[in-house]
Amino acid sequence: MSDNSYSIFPHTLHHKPARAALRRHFVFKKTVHSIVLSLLLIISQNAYTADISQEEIIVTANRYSQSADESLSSVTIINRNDIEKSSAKDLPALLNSVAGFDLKNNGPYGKLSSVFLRGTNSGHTLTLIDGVKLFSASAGSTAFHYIPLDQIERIEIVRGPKSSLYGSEAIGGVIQIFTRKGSGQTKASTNIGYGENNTREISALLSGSEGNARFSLNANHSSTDGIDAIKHSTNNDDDGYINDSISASFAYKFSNMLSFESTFLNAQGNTEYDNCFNNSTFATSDDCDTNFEQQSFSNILKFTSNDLWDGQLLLGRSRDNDENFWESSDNFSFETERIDISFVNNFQLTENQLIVLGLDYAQDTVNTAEYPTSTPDKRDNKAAFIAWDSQYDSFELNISLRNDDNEQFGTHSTGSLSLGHSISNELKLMLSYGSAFKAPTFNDLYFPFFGVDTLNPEESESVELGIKGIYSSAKWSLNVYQTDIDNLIASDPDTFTASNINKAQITGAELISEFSAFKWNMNFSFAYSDAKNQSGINKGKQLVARAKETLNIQADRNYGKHVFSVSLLAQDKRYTNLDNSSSIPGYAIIDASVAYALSKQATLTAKINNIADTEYVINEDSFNGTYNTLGRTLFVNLRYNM
Amino acid sequence: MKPGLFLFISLSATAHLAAFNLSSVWMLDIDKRTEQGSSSISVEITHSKPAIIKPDVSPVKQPRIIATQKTLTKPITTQQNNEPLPERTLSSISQITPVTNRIDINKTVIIDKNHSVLQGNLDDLLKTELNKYFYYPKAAIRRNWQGNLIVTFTLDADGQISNIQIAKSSGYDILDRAALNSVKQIKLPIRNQFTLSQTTLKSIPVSFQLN
Repeated sequence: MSDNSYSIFPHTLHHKPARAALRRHFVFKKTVHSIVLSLLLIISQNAYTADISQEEIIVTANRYSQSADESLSSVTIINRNDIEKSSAKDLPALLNSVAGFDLKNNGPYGKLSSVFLRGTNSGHTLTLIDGVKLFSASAGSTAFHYIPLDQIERIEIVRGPKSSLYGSEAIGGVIQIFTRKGSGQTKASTNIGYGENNTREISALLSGSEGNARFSLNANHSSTDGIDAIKHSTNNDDDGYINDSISASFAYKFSNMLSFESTFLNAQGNTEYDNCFNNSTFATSDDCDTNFEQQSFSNILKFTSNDLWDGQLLLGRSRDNDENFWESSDNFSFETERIDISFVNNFQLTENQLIVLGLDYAQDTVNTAEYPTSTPDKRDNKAAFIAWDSQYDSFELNISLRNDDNEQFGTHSTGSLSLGHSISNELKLMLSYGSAFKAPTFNDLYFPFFGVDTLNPEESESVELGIKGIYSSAKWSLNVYQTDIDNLIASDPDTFTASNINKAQITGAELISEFSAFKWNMNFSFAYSDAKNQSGINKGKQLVARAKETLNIQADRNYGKHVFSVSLLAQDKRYTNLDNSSSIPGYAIIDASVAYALSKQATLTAKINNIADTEYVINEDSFNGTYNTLGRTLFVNLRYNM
Repeated sequence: MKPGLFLFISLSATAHLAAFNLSSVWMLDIDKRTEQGSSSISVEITHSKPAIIKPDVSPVKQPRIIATQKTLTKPITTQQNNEPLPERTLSSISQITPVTNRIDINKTVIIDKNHSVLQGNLDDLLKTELNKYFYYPKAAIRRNWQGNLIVTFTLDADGQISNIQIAKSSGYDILDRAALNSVKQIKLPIRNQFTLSQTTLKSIPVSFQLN
């Protein structure tokens, strides 16, 4: 072939500098390697784009970023898009749509909600917001019902014990919530929504990036008149809810070696509820309300020195405050604060060998007038952990060990071991063992006439067997587990004080699948759990509030300017008392939503919850009666992007 | 999707909570693959999950025999080019309006030992191979390192790959090295069995992205 074929190149280019570079290049070629020029070059620009993209990343499972598909843990990731498509109006409802969760609440709209992961207790799930533990040190659980969905960018859920990486509470699993983050071009948007029970929501978001800086600022106000929290309550009142929240994040990348991220979330407001009793007179009333505040502040510095070593330093603080009123007069209050400092180092020995060394310091402070005056108001916990993750051909091994030194109960060690085997490119088998614990709460230790300050932590051991398949347009996983929990803290029938007396055993399985069919994206999950009391007079009975079988199906598709979404939640019956003499029946609920793009900027969304207007109960007890649930409700939202 | 089918799935699943028919997943999976077909030449590679896209027809196994083109039967020997090519060069060369012997990359002519001329799709072969070896380095995932790069190599007439180079760096050594290492492992089945009509210079844009 002739030399003149090269002269054609330049005019096909659009950028002058590149054209100049090209010309220089080929001039050089012509003079030096004239033989090469006789080569017929066949190059196709679009021949293949090896696009190693859309890696779904999870940071919660092993305390460092890894591919979610590769993780040996059973994980679920909910991103902003999923939240917007979901029919869930609050965080407890969203979690309830995830495999492995059971929900119990004291009525809708910002009332006390407890989630049970894999049949464990509600305080057996560790909750982190941007790496900082958010919980009430007095109650030992997290107030999910006060965290607005609008402030959440992403949620990572890891099922199974993780105490050997995180310490206390990670028995059933870990939930990590990431607040709104900025990226790409600067954008502003507003949301206005209105729905049944005079439910109003308004929010404004500003986010984006500029050079090496990323930022996000989001403010949200929502309020509702609510419905009566308890059915047939003597005072047939609506129990309203107000929540004002703000989140801010700022990230800066100094270089490829050093970056910093700071996030802040504050949600505060008021919620009304029924059947509270006066702390001094013990009289009950349905005129009860709580002023609450949830706050988290996280600062993370990430650094890399070379291929071998990288790490991060976290400084965080969270608060869970509430002030409770009985007929508008001060009743009691709890203020708890958590400080987290952690230093985690990763040593990448080879591509397939990683060692993680971490140090955690935490301090919990409780401020309340409810405990005796001699009660310590804070306790700290120092911990060190090591993890070794390695891969040999088709086998993977994750080992972790952790030692916690708690000011109250002393030292406690936990460990875990996971083995993975890739049977084929698509199929992977997993086998794991893990021990975990939960530290006694301040209420367990110091509450008058109940607390005992010599309690030991609750302890658990779990084994799990899993298999998952990952294909080009479908994913599925099946996990079978058994968890034995010992030293559970409960009221001693003789002394009525707290004691490490109970045992429980939970056997369960989850089948999770994600696939596309006829242009619909489908999410399917089925969870089975048999949670049994293993001690005392109720030995062999089912633990309360856990359904044996739960089914979730969600489907969505884009159709022109519309996005349709439908979901089904079906749940088996649940027992409401320890001796299983009373129960609430199973139920099935269908939700639907449609989003319509009015223009490039404006989107109108309508969500209908409980389309069939099914009457159902998710919580009742002999003292409070039956808590209400919502019938068919409509909520309409308009979003405008500027 | 028909509403009836959704209803059917919901109802049947509700009725038999545990009895989810896994075979439907498989069937749907296959449907999707057929839809994607081999017409698309973009390859999506997720690390450690090789061969995400499987060309439904292997060009070697099911060749279409075309008339012998005498002019193409002789492989052209080549001298290696040690100069990394700038990015723009690579994209522009595809725009060559031919001279003689121009060969469309998607209709690469492959000749086997028996001198039969097969019209195969070289891209499909390479795509399958690349899918096997591309990976996202774990250290880069952990550090949230992302980037785009271009790797080039020469594909000799006998299927040998040589002269693998990074034409445009991602800015991270780890990512560049991963791309180089992956291409080094490619073993084309055409080697020893088939002969390419021409030596070709391939350019592969690789995009490492995390979400």
